[in-house]
Amino acid sequence: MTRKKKNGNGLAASTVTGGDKIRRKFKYVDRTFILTMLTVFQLVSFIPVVFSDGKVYFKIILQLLFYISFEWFYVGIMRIFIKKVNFELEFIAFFLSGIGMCLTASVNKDSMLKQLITVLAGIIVYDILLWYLQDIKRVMFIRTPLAVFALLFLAASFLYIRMFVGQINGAYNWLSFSGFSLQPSEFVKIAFVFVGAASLDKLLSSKNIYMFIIFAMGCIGVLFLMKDFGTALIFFFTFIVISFMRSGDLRTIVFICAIALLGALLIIYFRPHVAARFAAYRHVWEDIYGRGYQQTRVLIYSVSGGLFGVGVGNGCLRNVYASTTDLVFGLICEEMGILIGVIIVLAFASIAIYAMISSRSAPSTFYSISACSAAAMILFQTCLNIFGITDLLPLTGVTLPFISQGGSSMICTWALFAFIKAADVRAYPKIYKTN
Amino acid sequence: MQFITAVSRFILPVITLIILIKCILSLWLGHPKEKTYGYIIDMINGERYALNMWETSIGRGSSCDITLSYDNVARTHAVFTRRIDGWYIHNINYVKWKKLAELEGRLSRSNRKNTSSIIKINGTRVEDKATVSDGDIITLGNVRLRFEVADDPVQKVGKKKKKSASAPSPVKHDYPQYDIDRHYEEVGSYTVETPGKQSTKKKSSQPRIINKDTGEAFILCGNEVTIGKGRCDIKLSSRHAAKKHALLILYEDGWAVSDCSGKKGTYLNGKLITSPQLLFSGDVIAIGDERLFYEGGRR
Repeated sequence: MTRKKKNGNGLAASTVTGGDKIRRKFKYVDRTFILTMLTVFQLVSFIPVVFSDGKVYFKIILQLLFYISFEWFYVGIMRIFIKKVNFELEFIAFFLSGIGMCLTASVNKDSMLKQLITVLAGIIVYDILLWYLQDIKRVMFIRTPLAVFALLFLAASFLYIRMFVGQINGAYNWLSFSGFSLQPSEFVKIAFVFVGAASLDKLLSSKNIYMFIIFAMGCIGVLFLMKDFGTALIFFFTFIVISFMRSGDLRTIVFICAIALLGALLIIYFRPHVAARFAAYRHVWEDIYGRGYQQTRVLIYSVSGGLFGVGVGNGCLRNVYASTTDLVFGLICEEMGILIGVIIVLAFASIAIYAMISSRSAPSTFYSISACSAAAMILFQTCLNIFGITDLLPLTGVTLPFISQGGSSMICTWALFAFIKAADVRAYPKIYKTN
Repeated sequence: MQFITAVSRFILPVITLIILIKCILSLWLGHPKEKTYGYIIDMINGERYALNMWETSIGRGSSCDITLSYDNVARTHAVFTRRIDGWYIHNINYVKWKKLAELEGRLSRSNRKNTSSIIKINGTRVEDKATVSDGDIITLGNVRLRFEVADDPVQKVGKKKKKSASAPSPVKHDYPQYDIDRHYEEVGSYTVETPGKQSTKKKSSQPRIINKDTGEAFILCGNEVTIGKGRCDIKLSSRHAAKKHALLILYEDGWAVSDCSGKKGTYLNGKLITSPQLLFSGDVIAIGDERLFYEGGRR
């Protein structure tokens, strides 16, 4: 029996299947090639930004060169010291952040620096989180304190905003101190994924998801009070994904959705002012200078850009309010072309598929659940943003991950990427044998 | 400037496509191959279950990764986890059982009755979780499984390696009941040894049957050992013995003897037995005119 086993193993090791060949071919991308491509893309896309208005913006050149050299250094340092070989997810994030920075800088030359700093902060958060996630024991240890802290932080910031800051853009979701502002809900997203996921032994031994339900309902409740319906919806969707992954029970999910639908109907019935916020939905063309102003402009201008766009800096959508935050997808379609817009959407969808693939062989169910829920969160946010501004869904004012201008969103998306990356054993070449 | 804009309009989508397609194909297809990290072998029917994931649930329920259809196994009994520092087994029902036992105030009795929380590694009870290593015998309820590691799970580097080398292993490797080395070779069968070969201290602690007349010693392994004149594990020469006279069965509490001869009967310490009787060290089983001594203490 032993001999047979040995023979069997030997045979398996010597036989190279078609799958192995593909695997070997796509094991990692050529880093230098992709970095060169990234550099070319960023240089070309920034040319109209640097040479606009008949002037040469040297500070933009400096910031761009810093960003490009940072990309090269980051990959080099990680390759040498951490022995990392897979940077695909980082490349995609660099690429999308670069597009965001380009559009932000083209609209407002002074906002590039801030955006650059948040990208760097995001990468730092990404790497710290990735390092922390490598040990499942400390991950499981921090979940409960994090849940309590996140809920308290969200509630406290709501009270603070309510008392001292007030509404900004119709919601109580901006925490601002002396010129510096952040969205607390973005940081709670990270905690939400952390708390929702758990390793298999913990999932099976506790078996109840009441604690998580209480935490999720608490978060969603506070977000409703903040009038941040978009983020509340993202949280709810992620909650459904996590619940399904934890229990595997479709009936429970249908039940939760039915209850939520009932709750939403009750809110609309008893609190008509909530419904009034979404009154423009499906009626944007009836009030193109009022409530439907942003959506109609996005629809008109993004189509006018055509397949290849009108070129960065030549569009008209840039003059519309929130063109670099909520409406940034319209700006991409207009100035860079619908082709790039569609590819970006497909990239987000592909990342979600990747999370599903890597979750099958993740080192723990914690990683599987967290990767899938983080990817679902990013994908749902992308959908909510793009469908919102094109009037396929009500406009809720959520950002497009990586591309929209905004620090909290950028850092949070990088952190969510860490969850997706951690599910792949290739993320930790020093720990796991990945060959 | 206009020329650059015109060119860049076509260059940018091409570069976008190249970057994203290359990265996404690598993300999708470059994934390491799925491996078998270990095996669980059901020692009752010899079935071999591969552990292909880092965390594997085991139990009676169909939702478990490995389904063992035995009454004494809980619906979800245990989880095998493969971590950076080795393999672990988690007792899923332990917390629930402990709470119940505390509530009822009869911890020791619940302990016997409720098999859903029983996990033993080489006979040592596991409370919450414990490490398992290659070749360990794991008892779930009263089903015995052997655990085998297929490959060294994790590449140990730097500090981790030093730590694991210096840290004492929590797994005890003194097997009071079973001869593990023999299990490798002969699962579920008994072995015969002459008294002269019995020299090591380790082996003397194993349960065995000694035939007083011939002086032969039989080390008890597996779950069942048959005694009789026919094709049995322990062969008797007495003409008063039946072809299959008695059966030694391994229960949760130890070995027991049961009679299967019918009229001829089996005597334990001089008393005729009618139902399976648990054996204690020093017990004498009388079959026909042969006397067998049981040695090895109750578990």
